[in-house]
Amino acid sequence: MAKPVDSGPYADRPAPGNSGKIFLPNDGMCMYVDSGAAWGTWGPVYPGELPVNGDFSWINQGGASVEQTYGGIFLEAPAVAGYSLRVRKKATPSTPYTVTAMFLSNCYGGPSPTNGYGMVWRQSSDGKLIILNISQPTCAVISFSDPTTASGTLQAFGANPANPPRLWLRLTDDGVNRTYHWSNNGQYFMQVYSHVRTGYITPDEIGFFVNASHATYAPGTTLLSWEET
Amino acid sequence: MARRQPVRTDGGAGILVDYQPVMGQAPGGGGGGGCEDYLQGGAFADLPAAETDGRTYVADDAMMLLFDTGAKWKPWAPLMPFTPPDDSEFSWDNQGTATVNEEGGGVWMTDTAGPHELRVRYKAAPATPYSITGLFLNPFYGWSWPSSGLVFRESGSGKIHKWGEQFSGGIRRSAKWTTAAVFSAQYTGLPTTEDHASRMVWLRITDDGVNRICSWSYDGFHFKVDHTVGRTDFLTADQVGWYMRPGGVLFTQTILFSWRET
Repeated sequence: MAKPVDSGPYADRPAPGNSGKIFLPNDGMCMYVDSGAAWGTWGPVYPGELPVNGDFSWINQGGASVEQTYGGIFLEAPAVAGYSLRVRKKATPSTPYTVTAMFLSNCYGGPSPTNGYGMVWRQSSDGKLIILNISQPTCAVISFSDPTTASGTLQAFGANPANPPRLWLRLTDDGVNRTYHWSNNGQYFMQVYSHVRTGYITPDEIGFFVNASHATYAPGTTLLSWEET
Repeated sequence: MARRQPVRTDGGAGILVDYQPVMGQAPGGGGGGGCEDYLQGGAFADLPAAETDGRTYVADDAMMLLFDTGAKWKPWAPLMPFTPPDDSEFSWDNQGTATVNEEGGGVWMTDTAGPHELRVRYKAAPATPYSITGLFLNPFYGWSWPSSGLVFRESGSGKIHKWGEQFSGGIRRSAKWTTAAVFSAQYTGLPTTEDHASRMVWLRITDDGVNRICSWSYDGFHFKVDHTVGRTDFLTADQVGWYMRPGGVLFTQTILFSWRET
């Protein structure tokens, strides 16, 4: 019998006519159920790639922890004032590459600087990092000499993003330049910053992080998808 | 143990999955390869090894639907399990001009230009220890302090301890009300965001027999505690429920998508 669930590009979705069949487009934002006469649409729900916690290791773990009970990787850290990046990192792919991550935030907001999360590039030889940080009141690309010492803000963007319930971040190294992107739908990305691939660091590691930046409020975020292309 | 059952749709209300034991049966193996074998569900921890292209796993305790490519499980997310509320179990406190209707898998509460009072739907509390977890779509209209969330209520006095997100100021607030119409004092007010209208949030109230505990989550699985107080402070709750506080201008609307008692 025909498979009741199928997946592929949206353009390859077959004509309706098999009642109960489900189609999951790997380049879309919905799932479709065949009534026998037409495709019904449920969403938004987004395709991804399951992250593998064992691929990552800690930098500046402190009291941070990860768990995978409910799908994805939930990264949580204790509250602490000032920067203290709790990082899960792995080796970068060979250039050119793009890494896209999907997050579901469990962070506090606020009018003053507070919880942040996002993606990170790291240079293993000296531990310098650059983060693509989602936080309030301003998102930013920030360089760090180590996980607790910010060096400078390279680009601020997306003021007051208000902890969107889900967010995609993307880091790309094409062998010449490194670029930083974000998206609220996983399909269309907005570039927020670009520099030469040796700018501040030449990263050989990549990962994700949370950062409390607050003495009372503890950050948490779930990495729902990690895709390397 | 993984379970199986065809997916069916029901009048646009959602996708209903009614599992049956799979009894260790593999797709196409021993059971004729029916569609039941391709549609499985269960705990995320029981996800079998990927090996059958087209198999789909509905994890009833995870944030995703998983599709077996034959080589790996590919997630579609976020997709959370709900427990649809049954509005017939609840009664009104201070209904005023508010209305509720059960539609589309949730319960909608709407009020027209109501005052800044609590419109409450309540029922008897479970025996302690218990937790109530509600999934809310925050009030749509963002004018002047609308909010929604969960309540502890004391039937003898009508006192309420409410726990909810408030649009103006971006605050998740735990507060005492002498009645549904009379504010008493705030317990806590911690920052959420300035712009949470249209965002969904899980709110949880717990009575563990010693304390009343208020917590929240944006994913439905990882909850952060914002407030804990002794279970007899201000009131001793024998009722629980949910509320909406109208914004005072035009209309305010919120949706309760899920109500789970554990």
